[in-house]
Amino acid sequence: MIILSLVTLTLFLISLLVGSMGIGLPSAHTTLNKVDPKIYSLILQEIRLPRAILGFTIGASLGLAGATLQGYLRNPLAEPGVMGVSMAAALGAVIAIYTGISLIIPMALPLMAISGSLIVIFLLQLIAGSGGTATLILAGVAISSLCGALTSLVLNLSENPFASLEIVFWLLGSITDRSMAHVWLSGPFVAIGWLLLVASARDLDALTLGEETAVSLGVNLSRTRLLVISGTAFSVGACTAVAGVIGFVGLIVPHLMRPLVGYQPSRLLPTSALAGASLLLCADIMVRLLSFSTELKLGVVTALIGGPFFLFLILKLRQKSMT
Amino acid sequence: MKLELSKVTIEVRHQKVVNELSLSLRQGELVGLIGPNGAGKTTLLKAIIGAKKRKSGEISLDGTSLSNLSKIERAKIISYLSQERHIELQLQARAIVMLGRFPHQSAFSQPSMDCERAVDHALDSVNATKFATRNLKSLSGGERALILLARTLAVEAPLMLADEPISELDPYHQIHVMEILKAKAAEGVGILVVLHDLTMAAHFMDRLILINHGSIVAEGSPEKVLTQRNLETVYKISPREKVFSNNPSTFPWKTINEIKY
Repeated sequence: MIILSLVTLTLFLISLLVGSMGIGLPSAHTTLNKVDPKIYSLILQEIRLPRAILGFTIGASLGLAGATLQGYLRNPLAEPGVMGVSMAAALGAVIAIYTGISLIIPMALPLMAISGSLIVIFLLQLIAGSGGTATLILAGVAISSLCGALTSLVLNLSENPFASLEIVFWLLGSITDRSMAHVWLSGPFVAIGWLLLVASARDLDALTLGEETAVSLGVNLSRTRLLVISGTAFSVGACTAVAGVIGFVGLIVPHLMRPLVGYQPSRLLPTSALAGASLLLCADIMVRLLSFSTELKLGVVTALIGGPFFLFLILKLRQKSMT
Repeated sequence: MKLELSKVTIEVRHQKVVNELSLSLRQGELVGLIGPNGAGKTTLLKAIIGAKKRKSGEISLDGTSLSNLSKIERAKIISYLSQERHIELQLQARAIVMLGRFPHQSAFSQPSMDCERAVDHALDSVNATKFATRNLKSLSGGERALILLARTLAVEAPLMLADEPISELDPYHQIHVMEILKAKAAEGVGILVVLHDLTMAAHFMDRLILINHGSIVAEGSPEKVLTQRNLETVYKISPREKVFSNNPSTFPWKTINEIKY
């Protein structure tokens, strides 16, 4: 846990230093007077800092929400995307780009994305409020595919090629060129989401024994469900709102961390949050170091690393069960 | 502490699974709840722990309606051993037992000395201390059953419900579990056990409650309940009497197709 915190902190600092304009140790760049030190502080404060903060909060949110959902649904394949939260937020954002509202009011995009995820909470509560976890997964998957279809519809109807391109790029997921305004906008929602998710931690432990035993131990299942659904929607919805869709982090990180915490869901939550933050910061640093003619999108990189890695995990699991 | 059910009716998909059933459980007694599959035994236990809604009737503890107690208060008074087998097998056995302390712990606090003691005691009373540090996956079916029983005992509730605690176990573990329950009842815990094994029921239970189609058919001492007539009408089987050193024992022997009475 301590080691993980240190790793995250180091990556956060590296994230501040790496970019197309290298910034060395402060003592180093004061001697290089070719560039005004003010530019450095400007780059640091206006570009690098929001990017590093967003990398941290988004990674942590995805890791935390993934760990919570896998614990609550008692299904190792659950992740924030399964609940339809990411796709609903994406749909909200896409509509904002399509209608052009985002050009007039820049903050309309994240706001509409957050509303998208809030609508999902409402729908999920309405449909699966009293059913079991299976109903919740099915409802989430259904909402997710519906949002995906509507997003495609918007793309399909979009007459403006620039808008279409913007939508596609936005869907790929990235934290490039985000400002402190994005941090302030997503911050409160993310914080509320984290609090809700962490509040469910103890209930998740009881749920390892099955739903009825958890009830017999005093767990209020509908309260737990509300915490998990709304916590995911707030944190992941707000992250998707500012960064687009970033997949696989919420799925893989809890898998990697689980053996380290003795498979206890409550202990998995903080560990997954830190590991998720590390993974995303690391991926974002890679994006900046790899020089292509156009910068790779963060969501593309996480999926490129995540997909094969997940297959590897499944193969390893299969080997284990066969021996 | 006394648990009392009066005229409890539970419907599942508009079908009456439990029909105006009344029973009571006092501390210190070991009561067997028996009846054929689908008689409503498990549903009844779930209603008591609050996992199933009842349509009508009253469940009370010492005269106080269960609905007036908070979930945590109820959890401290009634512990429950479910039939659920879908549990996280990678967890350490001791961590599982510690979950029994859930109602006694507050959020984000380390387990208190009291909790550690209760867990040690529970592990000790099922003779599982020696494999407490292993994970559930590495244990045999019998050892897992003992750990889950220890989890239930760790609640240290005055009343306990156990749903088929000995199905799927070998004879040694069946008898071992029953002996543990007997010992706990002697310590003052009131235990209601759902059983299918009638020989075990006759051997260990102080009192039996035979239910069929959601209603009580017979209640009382094993000799009074496990009569040939009851077995034939409710279970559709005919028994065979054996005498072992002056103890007559009833063995379920063969199925019958028609009721002779």
